[in-house]
Amino acid sequence: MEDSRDHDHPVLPPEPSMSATDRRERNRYLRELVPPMVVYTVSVVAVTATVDRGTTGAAFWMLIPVIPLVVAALAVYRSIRRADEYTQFRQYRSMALGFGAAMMTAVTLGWLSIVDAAPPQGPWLVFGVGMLAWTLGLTFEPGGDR
Amino acid sequence: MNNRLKELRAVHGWSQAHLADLLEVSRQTVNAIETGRYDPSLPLAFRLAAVFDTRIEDLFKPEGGDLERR
Repeated sequence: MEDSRDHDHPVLPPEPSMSATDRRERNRYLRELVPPMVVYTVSVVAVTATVDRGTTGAAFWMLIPVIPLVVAALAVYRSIRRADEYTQFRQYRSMALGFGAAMMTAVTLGWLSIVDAAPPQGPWLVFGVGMLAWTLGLTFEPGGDR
Repeated sequence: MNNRLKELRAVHGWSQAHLADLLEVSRQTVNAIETGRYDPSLPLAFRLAAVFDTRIEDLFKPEGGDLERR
């Protein structure tokens, strides 16, 4: 059968924002990420509300939220492993940006700490700046989604 | 690297999302290749050529700077 489409003036079909492959992967990622993040949130609320900070076992209990966080990190790792080459490239580039920003923040805080001028929540600042840079790296892609 | 992805996609009446499903990549990946922001690996270029039933060299054309030694 002859193709009846006009090859001189082809018309592109309407563009959905996601393909079926994208939706499948997003759903799988959320299925793996959401449960540990829920457990993490619950455990953070629980330990910060109940642990007596002056006791010797406080450090042990404060480490409990790290366990679901490790599971969440594995979900991110598996998602990146499953991703196609360009998605992996974007992730690695953004992670490199996040790593660089976290390192710069850590060094800056390190120097400030020598003269006792570092803020007391320094580690959270390192984490926050790193995560922010990672997110911005993924959001503001050079060239954009044209 | 210049390419004829958009042109061939239009000829086939495929959306980026449909092509992405055929290649098992994300729609963003198809968009990035199509707009020249990303040059695919050889395996993905071969898959692209296969779905359009053409040759890689008919799909991609190097620009001047692409052939210069870096």
